[in-house]
Amino acid sequence: MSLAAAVGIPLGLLMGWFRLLDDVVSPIFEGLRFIAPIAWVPFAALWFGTGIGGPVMIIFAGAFPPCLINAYRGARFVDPHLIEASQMLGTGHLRTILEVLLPASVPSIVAGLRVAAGLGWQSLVGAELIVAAAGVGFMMVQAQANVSTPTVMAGMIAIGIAGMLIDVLLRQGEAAILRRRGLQA
Amino acid sequence: MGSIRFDRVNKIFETTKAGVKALDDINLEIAEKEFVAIVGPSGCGKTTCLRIVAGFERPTSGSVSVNGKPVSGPGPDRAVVFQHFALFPWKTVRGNIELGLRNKNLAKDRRGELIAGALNLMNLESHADAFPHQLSGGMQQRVAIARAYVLDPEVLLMDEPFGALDAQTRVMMQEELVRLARVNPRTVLFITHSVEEAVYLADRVAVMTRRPGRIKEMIDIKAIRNAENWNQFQRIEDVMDQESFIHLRTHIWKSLREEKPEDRH
Repeated sequence: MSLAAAVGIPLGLLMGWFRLLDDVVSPIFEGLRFIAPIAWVPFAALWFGTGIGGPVMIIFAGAFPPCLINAYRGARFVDPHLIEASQMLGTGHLRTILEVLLPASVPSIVAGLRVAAGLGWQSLVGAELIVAAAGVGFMMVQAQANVSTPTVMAGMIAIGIAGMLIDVLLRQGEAAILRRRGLQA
Repeated sequence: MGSIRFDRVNKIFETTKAGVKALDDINLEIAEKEFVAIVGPSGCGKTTCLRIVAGFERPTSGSVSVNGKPVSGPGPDRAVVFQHFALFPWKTVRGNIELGLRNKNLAKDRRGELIAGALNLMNLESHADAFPHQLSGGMQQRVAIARAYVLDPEVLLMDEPFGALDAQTRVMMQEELVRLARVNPRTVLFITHSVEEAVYLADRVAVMTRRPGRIKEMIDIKAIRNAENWNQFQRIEDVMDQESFIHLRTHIWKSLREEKPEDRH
């Protein structure tokens, strides 16, 4: 998931700033985006076998689009007066991206991270249901085979709670950032 | 340094199929260190004039040059003060003022000196580490002015800078701007709706027609200001009490009135 964020956020910001990059990358991205993360499972299994690469790829497939899209939206919809002020001050491209676009896009990026965390988490568990030797998903499939309903239920509750905890942490992070900026009481 | 020249400038915005003609054959020469205000009805193109000098827009035909060189894009030689401040909310007052200086690759010590000077000039010393949202509108605009001034620009472009402030703060800022202009003069292009503000602040006032904007009239304020010695008065209300001031204001007001369709006879 960090990989998705680490690639998605900068790429999104860059695409938001440099229109040309946007024109080149968007079609490729849109083409790949609609392949559901679960559909990447067989591909991942073939490519990575049972190593860590498989789950990483699945999570990436789920988490990457929201990171990219939200960073992109954040960059494109920055208040134009702030961009103009920045240009008037003689700010170069890199500094503009780091000190204007990025901070301005934080609400959008954090929203994207929350969605990405959710999707990444769901993709992982889904993938585990199909192809894994360990993990909660695996445990649930085993339980299903053994017709052990409580275990299946426990698994679902655990998944839900873990997902929720990740989200709560992200939301607190978001609130802290917004408070500092005075955008939220 | 800092002369501005509009040479047969036309501007058409392609927002509709027919296009909207904002400026029609604008010719205007502003001498260095001259303070020129443009007044005109809403939508007449006065802000567009400023934006072209700033480099945010290009003329459709004709050219705008500063010091004889055509304007090619925004830059710190033509600093802008925006109506709605345009401060970076995630930076402190100090951070906002510092960005332009960092872009100039000035050494840290030098930056510190300049920032301290700007904070002092605009009475912001006690707020240096505050964030914009913690400041009143008047203080935020002071930060915006400090941010522009610290660049030591040849040209200062002010787009209705006091329009978003309450009436009393507005008057205080006008007095401050006059004080600044005396201490540290430079070329200023000032856009405003307010005739009083223009007459109080400017050396010359350009009156624009309604869209497509043309310069209808240029009024020389400086000669009268000097002849009547307005500078003897510290307070704006004393200046505005002068007959010469009232006369100028009324003249410009009448000129603007003609531009409103309902008042045409």
